[in-house]
Amino acid sequence: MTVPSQSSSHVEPAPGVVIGKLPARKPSNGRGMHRKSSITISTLSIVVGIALWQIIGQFLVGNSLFLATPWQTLSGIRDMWTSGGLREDLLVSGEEFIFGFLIGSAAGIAVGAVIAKNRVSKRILTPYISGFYATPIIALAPILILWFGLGIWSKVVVVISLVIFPQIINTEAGIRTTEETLRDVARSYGGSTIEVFRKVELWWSLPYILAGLRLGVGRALIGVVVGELFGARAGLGFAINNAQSEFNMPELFAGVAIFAVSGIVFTYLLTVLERVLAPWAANRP
Amino acid sequence: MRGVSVQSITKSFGDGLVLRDISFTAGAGEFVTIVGPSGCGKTTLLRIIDGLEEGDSGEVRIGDRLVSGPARECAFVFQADSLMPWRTVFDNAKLGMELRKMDIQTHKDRLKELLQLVGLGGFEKYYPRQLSGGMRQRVNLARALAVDPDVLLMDEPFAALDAQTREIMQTELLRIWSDQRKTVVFITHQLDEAVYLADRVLVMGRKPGVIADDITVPFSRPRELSLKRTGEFGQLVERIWGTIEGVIRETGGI
Repeated sequence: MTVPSQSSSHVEPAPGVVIGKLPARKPSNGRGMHRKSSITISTLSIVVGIALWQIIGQFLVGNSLFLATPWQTLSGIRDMWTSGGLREDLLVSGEEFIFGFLIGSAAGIAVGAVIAKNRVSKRILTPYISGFYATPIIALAPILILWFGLGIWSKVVVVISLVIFPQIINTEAGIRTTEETLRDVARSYGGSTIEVFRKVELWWSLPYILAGLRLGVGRALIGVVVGELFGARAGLGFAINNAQSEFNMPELFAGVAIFAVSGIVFTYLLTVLERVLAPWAANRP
Repeated sequence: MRGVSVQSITKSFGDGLVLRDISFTAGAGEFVTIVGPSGCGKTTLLRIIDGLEEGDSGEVRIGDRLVSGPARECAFVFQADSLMPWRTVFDNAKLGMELRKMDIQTHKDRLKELLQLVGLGGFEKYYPRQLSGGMRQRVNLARALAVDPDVLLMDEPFAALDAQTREIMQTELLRIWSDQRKTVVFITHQLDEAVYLADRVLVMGRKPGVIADDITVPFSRPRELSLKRTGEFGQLVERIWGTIEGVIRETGGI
């Protein structure tokens, strides 16, 4: 309990005058200033990394059987392209990645939302979710290939199984941690359960879901490679496996490099998506 | 415009009796503040009036209508940070209209005028994290006024603000209220705020919460902030403080 303080300052502003801290930033997402320099630093870091790789490969190792240099890797990519295999491999792996990632993410969001909103389903599913999230599902890949064949769908299933669990966990966490006051606001204006979900919980979870997507990209790429290592007719992982059995290090490195670049590209695309969908969530997960 | 009538509301959580036989009325267009020590069930009472919670017994009426479920005639102004971080000032202000299925297009100009009225003209596209605490509470107020309620229920809306901003917001609230006349039930633990704003101050006791005193504030309107430094004002605050002190003693300390 406070007693009115006698020493409180005497301010009598004109009506309508806005006092208090004025926003320090313009209503942009407030990151524009540093974006340029951070891109420069990132680019520089990549250039230095590649240069080091070239130097170590050329002068320290000096044997392309142990370590292909960036230059040899590039010519590996060129050889794969001209021989016609690379296009086909990219298409196959790309399809596996896209289907697996999209289906797995969508299903993960849906399941996460259901278990966040329904206690019984949460109790039923939680042991499986934590179990499968922690087990190296990759170990099951040979069985999945056995069940679903050598075509793309076995790999799609491997990717789904890798992508879905972190997304379930993230989405559930997002909805569960929604601030109660915000739900109350919607309810007090007559919002139904569905409206509370659509207008409050889903938005609150968006940064969590986007973080889940970012985790999913990496796991999906791993799923594609490993799935193809265990059995495929085409694809980048398949190509890597072939290159390895022929001791063709430049092509092996080429395959790996393409995956690495895809990881960078997809993660970057997701940060762009984040900036578009959730510019308000600068400091959220 | 309609008033609020609270009849014999009782409420317990578990085996703790929170509110016992609370009855009071706020006439149409009247500004009533409720003060009381922390834990006296002020917020629970306000939530029951809004229909966000239900009393165990007793009833709430807005005008003649018995409240059950979130009341359309009321708008609730929550404590700080009840804005949706993903919505701009404008979109936050129209949330209540959206949920009450009001046509945004026909009310768009009114909403803009409202934002102007609460001092947010030009800030429509800002996100809450770009605003100060005082400005966020202005958005909260605009969101509540936008649904054109009969009754404004305000739950310590200025508690999180610093002393200076709080005083400014008090005068601002009175200015806005004189423009958009509503029945107001305003909860606070600041006695000078309660007296400065209100036509009537209700003092609540606690454990369980009861209405311990009902004081009519004699000062004419419009009121200047300097009113707070007059002797009569001080005496009234002193009297309320006396009641609350008694309540706290009786129920065993803070």
